[in-house]
Amino acid sequence: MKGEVLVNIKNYSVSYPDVEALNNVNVEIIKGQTYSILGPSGCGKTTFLHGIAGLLPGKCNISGDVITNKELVKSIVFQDYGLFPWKTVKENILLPIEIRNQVIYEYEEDYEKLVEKLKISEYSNSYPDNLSGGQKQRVAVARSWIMNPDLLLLDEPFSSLDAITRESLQDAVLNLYKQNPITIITVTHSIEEAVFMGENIIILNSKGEIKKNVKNKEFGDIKAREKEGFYEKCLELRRIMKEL
Amino acid sequence: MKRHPYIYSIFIIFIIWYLAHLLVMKNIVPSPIETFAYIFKNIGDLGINVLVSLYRIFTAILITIVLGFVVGIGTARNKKIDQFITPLLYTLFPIPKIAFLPLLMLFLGLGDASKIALVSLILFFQISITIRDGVKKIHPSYFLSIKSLGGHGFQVYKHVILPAILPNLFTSIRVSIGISISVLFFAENYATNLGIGYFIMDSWLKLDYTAMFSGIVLISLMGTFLFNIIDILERKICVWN
Repeated sequence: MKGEVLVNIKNYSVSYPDVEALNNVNVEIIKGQTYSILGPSGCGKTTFLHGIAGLLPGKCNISGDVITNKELVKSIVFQDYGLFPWKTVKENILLPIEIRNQVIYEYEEDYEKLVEKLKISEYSNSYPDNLSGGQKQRVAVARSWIMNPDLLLLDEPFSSLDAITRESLQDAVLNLYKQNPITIITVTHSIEEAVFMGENIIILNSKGEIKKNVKNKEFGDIKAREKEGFYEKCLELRRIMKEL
Repeated sequence: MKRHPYIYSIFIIFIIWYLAHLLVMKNIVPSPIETFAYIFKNIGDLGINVLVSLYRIFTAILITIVLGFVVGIGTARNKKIDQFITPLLYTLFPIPKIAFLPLLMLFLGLGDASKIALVSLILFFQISITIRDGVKKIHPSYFLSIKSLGGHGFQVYKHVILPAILPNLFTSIRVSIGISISVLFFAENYATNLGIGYFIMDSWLKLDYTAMFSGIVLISLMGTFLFNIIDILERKICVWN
């Protein structure tokens, strides 16, 4: 049974003045499910995500629709963290609350739990420039999670991290998802990350077209990387991507 | 000693000063002891002159920061304003503003207003341009980030623009302090009988070199005091920096 459609993307095309980024994309994002957007560099993955987030620059030529509920709370984690160096870790994490004019005090408990889960509680008063890449990305994840969003968008969030840090952050996000299954869309160029992070894997080709929408049964197991099925899925995706 | 870096520089200045006193004509270059004795003896009179000069500097810097913010941010954030204002800034910046002192005195009178306006006029261009360049150099990812969090309008200024340009602004204020003291020294030579600039020139005309040197020492201390205030404020406000 298909769940509630959270985002309905219809005949969606985006082009920049000198290049076409997305080409007639049609996809339904179902509430509570996770999606990985996989494809080669320059295939329009980030444009896809920014289109949903409403962050595309004015110079873009857009056709088609991204239909969402106006009340939908969206948050995004950027590859370069998007943290403000002049705010402490705590101020960065609670910024979305402050911007929405909500009472920060009411989120203190959520904050404490979240930073505990993400293992950054000891850095509350530190500034981002004093943290490692992995710690910064944990702060960025916490900031996007504190609002309890309906839709979390991850824009190649762990690609600049080393393999072990990357895996620990993927585990952290999956654990958060298991406790609170919100809809997550992860854009990545890593096949392993796509298999670990998405129960639906959408593959884009270099022309910005959706070539495949693969269901992934390996998703959801925190120990998936130790299992054969995970790597079989990776090989299957690798074959598909080579054929693009 | 590490906590008092000024001790070295003050010590060196005193040695050079004392050597100058010994080697040059003693009645033209008073000794440091003689000068400080004069300062302590006339602290009330000198203090009023220093306070008047400080008031003029503070007011001029404050006015310039407010105007500089409006013009700097306007030119950085709006292309049309930039296209209109920047050529004006570039054309007027090189004109020696001191030449406008007679005009300012004519329009604003002989009191404080004309002196404050002259200092503001000189500082305005560099503060506006510093703020404009500081805003233009803010990485676009910060704007994208605040937009993604739902921030807009005033929130963008509060959470991104203002904190991002603060370090630049403090540097600009530091440079401004040096310039404003020099300009004020000049401006206080006309139509006033108060201010440290007036005191120095008046002492010189009276051939009272001890008083003149006292004024020079106080103008230096005034600058040091202002620079230190800015350093402390920057350390307190720009903690991340």
